[in-house]
Amino acid sequence: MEFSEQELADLEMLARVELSESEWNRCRQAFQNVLDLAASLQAVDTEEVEPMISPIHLMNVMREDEIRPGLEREEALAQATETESGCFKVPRIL
Amino acid sequence: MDEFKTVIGLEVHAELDTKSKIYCGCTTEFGGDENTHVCPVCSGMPGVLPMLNRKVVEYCVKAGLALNCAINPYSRQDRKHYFYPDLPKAFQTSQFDQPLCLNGYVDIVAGGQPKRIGITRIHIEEDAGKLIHGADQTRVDYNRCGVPLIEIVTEPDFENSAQVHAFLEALREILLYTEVSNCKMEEGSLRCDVNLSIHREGEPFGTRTEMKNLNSFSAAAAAVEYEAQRQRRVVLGGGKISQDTLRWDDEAGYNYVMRSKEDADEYFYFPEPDIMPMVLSEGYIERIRKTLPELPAKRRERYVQVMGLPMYDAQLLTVSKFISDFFDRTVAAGAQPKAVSNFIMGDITRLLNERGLAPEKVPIQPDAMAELLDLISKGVISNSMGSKVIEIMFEETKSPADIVRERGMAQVSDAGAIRGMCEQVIAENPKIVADYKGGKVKAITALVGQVMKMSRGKANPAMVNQLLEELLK
Repeated sequence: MEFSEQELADLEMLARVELSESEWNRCRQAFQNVLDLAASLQAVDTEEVEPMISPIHLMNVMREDEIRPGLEREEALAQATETESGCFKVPRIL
Repeated sequence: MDEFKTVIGLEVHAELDTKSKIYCGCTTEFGGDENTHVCPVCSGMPGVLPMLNRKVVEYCVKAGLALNCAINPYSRQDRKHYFYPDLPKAFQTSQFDQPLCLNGYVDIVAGGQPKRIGITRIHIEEDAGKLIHGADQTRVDYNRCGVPLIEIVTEPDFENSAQVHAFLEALREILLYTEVSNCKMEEGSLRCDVNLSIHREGEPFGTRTEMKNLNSFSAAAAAVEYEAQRQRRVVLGGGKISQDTLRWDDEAGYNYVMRSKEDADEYFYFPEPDIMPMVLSEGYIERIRKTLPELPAKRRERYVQVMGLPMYDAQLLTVSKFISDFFDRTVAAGAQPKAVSNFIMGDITRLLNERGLAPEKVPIQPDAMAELLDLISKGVISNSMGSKVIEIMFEETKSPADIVRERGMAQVSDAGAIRGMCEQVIAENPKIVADYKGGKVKAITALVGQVMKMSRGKANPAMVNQLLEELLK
């Protein structure tokens, strides 16, 4: 299966990033490698095998219901492209 | 009725009343300045490890047991993907094919008819952030992001808006009594999506539409009415119903199309690798079952059938779990049920309203309430004096007996003293006396009132009545 130029363009848009030409080529190759790996897995006969959700066989890993301090607002917003009145600002939706 | 049948199913989201969020320690407190209840986990930063809040599982199981569900001994979380800025991770951690609770039901009465509504499933998931739509930009507040929710999905068992309304009332009551959600509609703690289709008798179900944004019971009922009629008009006009998601505009009173419905496979559900499966033992489930309170419907049944109260009283007493518990404890302390009920529905409700207090702020202990009713039933104070004592008990933490003693409120049952007052009142009111003797038997109540006033409410009214009758013979 070939990873097309269009698929990378779609992902670039969804991820809101702009790739340079060298990044573009590197990403395209990386995604192609992932698809090739997945394709090689398709060849394995898994008819009798139970699905494995996680390689870690733990269960009921939970925490107590306790409040812990989080981020200051400035920290939370520090990575945002745009902010306004303490909020993340995104293109109009409705 | 027309040739069509309406088929309705609900999805109800209830925010759980935990202190912290579902996968992180941020507070779930409503409000707060925008983006101040956030951390790397709930704001979707890369490389974080979410950890499930134990209380969320417990509350979901508790709600499930109260709604007669089977609890899944093995349950798991899944990622539900969609791209929308209210969801910073680009997926919602939810449950797909292994929800915590399955196959429950709620019994309701609508339009005088009993009806059983099936519960398909209940699962846990995280709430999304809040979008504030502006003219050309949208602002995002992630405070609500990660607040724990349960989603309760019903079978398509509803036929009309009355049943929808009755179910939502019953569900709200159960969630309040089990104390898993505060169900504050105005804070969005209980929200409802409605799926509705119509079909002709004997034909398969029609295409359904989904209505969102129903944040009051009356909005849900109005949207059901509107949509059922709209679909009839479309079908009768030869049109086809398309599988749309509609947004209810409560002010305008109509639905508009929000988006065409995605299929489940467009959400690319897959098992959440960061959260380990929940494996619940029989012992764990039974421990939670033991914490379930007696539910409101059962209490009403007991009040009417065992205690002999009118249904009206039973309804009012069970509006709040606190009041219902207060009533039960007062009765357990030896008071007569109807006497307790009268004081709760009368004086206590009035005093709470006057002071703008919530029911759980009743400042009286059940034992003290029972003691007061005992003073009344023994004739130490009159019923109306009892109202005054309750009023004082709202302000001071003294026993009713002390209040009565300190303020000299005890009823005067001394025949000599009452006779003196009766004679004086008769002498001062010749006209009323003449009316009474002329056959207006009811005129005597005016005289009783005068004596009570003279005694400042302390005379035993039954004795006053009796003595007046004797003196006027």
